[in-house]
Amino acid sequence: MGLPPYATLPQRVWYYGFRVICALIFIFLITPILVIIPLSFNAQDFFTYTPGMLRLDPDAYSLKHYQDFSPTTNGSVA
Amino acid sequence: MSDSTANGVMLAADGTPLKRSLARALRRQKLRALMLIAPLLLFVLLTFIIPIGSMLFRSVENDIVVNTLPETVAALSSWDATTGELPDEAVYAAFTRDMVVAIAEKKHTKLGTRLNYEKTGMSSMFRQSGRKMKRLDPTEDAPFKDKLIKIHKGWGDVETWKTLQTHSGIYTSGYFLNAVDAQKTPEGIEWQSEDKQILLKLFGRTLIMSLIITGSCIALGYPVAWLLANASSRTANMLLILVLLPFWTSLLVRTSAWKVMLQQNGVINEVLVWIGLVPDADRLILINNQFGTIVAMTHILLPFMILPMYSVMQTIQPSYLRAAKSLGATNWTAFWRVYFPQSIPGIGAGSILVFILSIGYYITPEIVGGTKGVFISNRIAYHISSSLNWGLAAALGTILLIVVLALYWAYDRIVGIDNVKLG
Repeated sequence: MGLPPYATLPQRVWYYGFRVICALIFIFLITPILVIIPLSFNAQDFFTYTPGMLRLDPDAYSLKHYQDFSPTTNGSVA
Repeated sequence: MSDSTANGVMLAADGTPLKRSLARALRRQKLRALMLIAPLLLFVLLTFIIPIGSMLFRSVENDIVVNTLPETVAALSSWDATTGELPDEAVYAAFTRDMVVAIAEKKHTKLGTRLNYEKTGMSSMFRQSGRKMKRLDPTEDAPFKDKLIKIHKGWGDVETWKTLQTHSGIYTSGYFLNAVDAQKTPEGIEWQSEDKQILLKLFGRTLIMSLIITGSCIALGYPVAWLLANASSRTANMLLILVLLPFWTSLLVRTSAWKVMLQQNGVINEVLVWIGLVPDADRLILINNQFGTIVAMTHILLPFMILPMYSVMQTIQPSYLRAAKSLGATNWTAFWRVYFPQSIPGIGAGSILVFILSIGYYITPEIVGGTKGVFISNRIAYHISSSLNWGLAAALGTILLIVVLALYWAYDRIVGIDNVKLG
């Protein structure tokens, strides 16, 4: 469904506007899934982005949640 | 015609009348068909119909009173509550005999809990009197009237006996009345006090919010489905991943993700503060209210709307739209008069899916709903697992089931259930 070369201005506006709307809906669908991935590297236990994480401070990130998850490092699970 | 006898009855090869032989063959065929579906039928019966039926039956079941206090119920039936006088000694004696048996079997506290749903204070009354009545001997310690009143002054209250008399039937409408904020009292049906009336409001909220969620799913799903159906198959497959990825992710993960997004120092508020749209001091309250529930549930149920719409829209011939335009229709007329009517089966299928799923949703409202955004299902879960008032939970569940069936019937009458297509 490409835009024909004779399309008028409102048609052009609608064509691109519609695609922007769709893009926003796709963003709505996918952001919550993406947002949760960096949080798994959080150095704290809280379920929020800490100021350190927003500053991209390396100390604010850690793999400790993955270590907790792995049975070799967590004796209580094994 | 060798197998036809003199009186005109057709015979099969083995000599039996053809009619009977045919009926037998048909019966055998039916039996075989039944045997084939028997495992499924049994499975559905055992795991679905019987448990749900027994759960729904709890909403009217009330044999605990008559089972625990059989003699008292019999003695009370002749007592006239309207006189305002206490029942006579015979009732008290019968009650003592029943209670001594019930205390020995430890059933009196259950009865107290049951009656407490109707009149507060009954539970502690039964528990306290239980400890003291244990020592009474039903044959020797008569008369009991004054002794019982001394043990707990509640037994000297006419209201106690009225409550007992009112709720002594094997079946009760009490749970259903409780479920619609009313109460079965000795004087008839009454509304609960104002501060206890929450269930009707919750039913209404559940329905309205489910409608809003369905509506926003239609509004968001329709453009996306249209884009997917009209894009080239390469692009459509790419974009479809964006729809399916949330669909495949665990429900709990998506709900927690919305908690991250919506909370006061969550992603949305941080971004708005960073842009400068919202001052840092008063961040938006997006979670633990109805807004949070609606947004999170719209996101979770959106794929259920997009997928049926997409598969229906794929079958719509683009040439119809072109034909309409070549006959002089504007873009809008061509869409509204030609394309939209053909896509209605998809909207119908998606709407039914989303609405029925959302009306019984539990996890998402529980996590992001706070107190203002919870559904009736949260109340049912509360009565099942915390307050242990299973009768009320069953009554609420039954009402919810009836509402869904009624809405389905209404949908069938207005839109027509044949008009629903999943692809």
